[in-house]
Amino acid sequence: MGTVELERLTLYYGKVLAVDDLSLRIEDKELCVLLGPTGCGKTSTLRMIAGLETPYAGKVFLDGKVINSLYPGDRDVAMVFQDYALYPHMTVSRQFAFPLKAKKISAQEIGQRVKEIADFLQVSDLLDRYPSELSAGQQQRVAMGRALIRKPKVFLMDEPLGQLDARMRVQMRASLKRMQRELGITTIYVTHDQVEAQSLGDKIVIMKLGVIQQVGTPEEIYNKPANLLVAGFIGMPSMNFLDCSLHREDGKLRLQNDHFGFILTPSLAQKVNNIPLQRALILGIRPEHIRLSPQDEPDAVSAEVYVVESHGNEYVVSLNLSDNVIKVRRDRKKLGFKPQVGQTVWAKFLQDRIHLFDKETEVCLV
Amino acid sequence: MNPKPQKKDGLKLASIGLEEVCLEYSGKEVLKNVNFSVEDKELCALVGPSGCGKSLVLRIIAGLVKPTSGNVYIDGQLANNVPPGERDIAMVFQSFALYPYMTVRENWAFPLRASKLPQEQVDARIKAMAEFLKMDPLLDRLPRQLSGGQQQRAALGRALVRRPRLFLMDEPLGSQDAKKRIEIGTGLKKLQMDLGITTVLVTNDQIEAQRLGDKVAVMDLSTLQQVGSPEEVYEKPVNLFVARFIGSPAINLFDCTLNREDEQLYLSHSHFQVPLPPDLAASVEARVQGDVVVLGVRSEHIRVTLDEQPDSTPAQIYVFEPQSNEILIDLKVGDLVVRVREDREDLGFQPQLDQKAFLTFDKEFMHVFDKATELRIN
Repeated sequence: MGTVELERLTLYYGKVLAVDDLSLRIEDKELCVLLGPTGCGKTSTLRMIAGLETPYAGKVFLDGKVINSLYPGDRDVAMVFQDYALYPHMTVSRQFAFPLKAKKISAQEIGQRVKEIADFLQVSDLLDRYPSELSAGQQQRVAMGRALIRKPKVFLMDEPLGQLDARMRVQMRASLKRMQRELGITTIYVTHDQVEAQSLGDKIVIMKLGVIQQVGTPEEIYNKPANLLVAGFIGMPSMNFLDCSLHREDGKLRLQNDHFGFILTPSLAQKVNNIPLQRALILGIRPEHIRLSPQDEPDAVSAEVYVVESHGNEYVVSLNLSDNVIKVRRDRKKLGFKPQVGQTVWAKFLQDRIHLFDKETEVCLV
Repeated sequence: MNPKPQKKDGLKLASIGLEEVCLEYSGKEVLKNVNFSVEDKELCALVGPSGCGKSLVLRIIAGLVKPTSGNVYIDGQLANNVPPGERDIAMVFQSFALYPYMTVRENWAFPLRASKLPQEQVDARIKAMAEFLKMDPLLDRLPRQLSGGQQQRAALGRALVRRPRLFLMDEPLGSQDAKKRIEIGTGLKKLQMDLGITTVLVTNDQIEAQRLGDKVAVMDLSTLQQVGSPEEVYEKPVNLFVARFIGSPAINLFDCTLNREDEQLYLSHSHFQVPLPPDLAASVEARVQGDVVVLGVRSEHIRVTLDEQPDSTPAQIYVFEPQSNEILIDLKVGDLVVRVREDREDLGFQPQLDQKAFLTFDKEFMHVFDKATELRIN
């Protein structure tokens, strides 16, 4: 088993609060991703689980037992760092064998496990090489092998794909995910890359300034962001944000600001029941949830085409909506026309995908 | 470099024209018969893997390297013997090449002073550039006080502030992180459009090439593989290399043989058979030269269903990766891995590892290549 429970963890670096009263539960076999910008506390949290940092307050549980007082080496967790930290003077097979030697396992068993790990990670023909003779991708697999060979209860990874080029990263993501599933080892993975987090995580924990913003599956985080930060962090191009407020005109509810306005559909009108009229709101709508037309349409907003970028089968169109730039992403064929720079187009927001945030608190209301 | 072109020759009407350009180093051909043009005000993205020759093409346009044979035209005039300094070109290198003993501001002012621009205009341009590149607080720093990414922006600024006739860039965004790369890339394109400066941008990132280029020139192994709009190189790659290189996730490729059965032409693979619709069958039959072809299908043109469909192939889910509104699924068909990209809502089910499913190819978007020549057939 490998359940991890973090109870009210707090960490200071001098006077700086890095992790603020953080509580989180990670289930057995789960791949949990800690996601956030630099300085959000994700690596600090990982290091406290590893035992490389001592919390100021709070407890770390592994399978129900508090492990705060255990040295890293006694915690039955293994860690892979961004720069791999391979022993430069050891061949791959010795890198793998080394952690087992300290555990007084027979030479025969060590040989067996090294072979198994090497086969699993497809580095069998690299066993006699030194780290300097390996590519970045190969080094990364060796670093993982060295951690895995101990059969730890929990696998901790700190931006392990950070050193790889874009192409390799994409390839390694899928094999990493598959590998974690096959091994069934609880894994806690730190990254600042939201694409990576969505790809890998069973559960994503978004952090900012030491505080958890939201915990959810990739789908939940994408469809139901808890606040402005989460909404803007997930998705590429990121969600468009527009200041606006609710008004009632001729008995109909409208969302509007100085430059645009539209009537709410009945289903959206229902969702905004509790929101006071005139309250300062932020409308959030993802680029993929906006429909463009070269002609005027009811309840569409007119805007000027600023830039058109081709992206595989899609266009990403940047529009000038008065002082705001909003982005629209759509399959070329479905769009049906090629927007020209300077052209006026009409943008319609898919109302069932509109999010509304309180401007002051930044909390998601709809 | 001023006179208007006289002849009505496509290459010579363009801003930049390369005609049968070849380059040889110590008996080795490093550029072979490069022919292409860049129109006035166009942004051409020159893209290809490391070592394909794209940087050499740029250097030839700049005049830093002389072709072994072939002609370089700039604004319709033969430019083979025109020294770089007289081509009114600004170039940004990968290595930035900033004057190390000058601040960013001085680096930018230097080329402007050389063109005798009045001081207030120099100041205005520097201010605007600093705003655009988000370098306001860095103007008085020396290059060694800047990060790699900042140095790169400083180099971009120095080139652009001159408003040159032609702008050549060799991987100008390489040092930036992903987010900045996209931001600055879009801003660069917008600036290029507003200023109307004919630009050639060299990159090894095909996503960037598609995003920024009005025209994309794909190179491999010292030859130009295809020149066309981003839409063209994506939707109608002329050969296997372009098909593989352009597009992310990469296109799925299957070796197939052609089979005829009861008036119907099939593409037969060891694990599946696909009947060809009439017009596709007609073009394949007309142009194929053997009976082994390569079928290419992009990840967004394959449907995954839990139930069998007409002409579908059984497969097993190997791994899946959610991505915003889509899910990327790798499925195993025998020992083959097929990559599929579906909108989460179109998919209609939550994928599970090792789950059995069925794949259907969208026949309207199949690409067929001759296996031997690697050229597109349809």
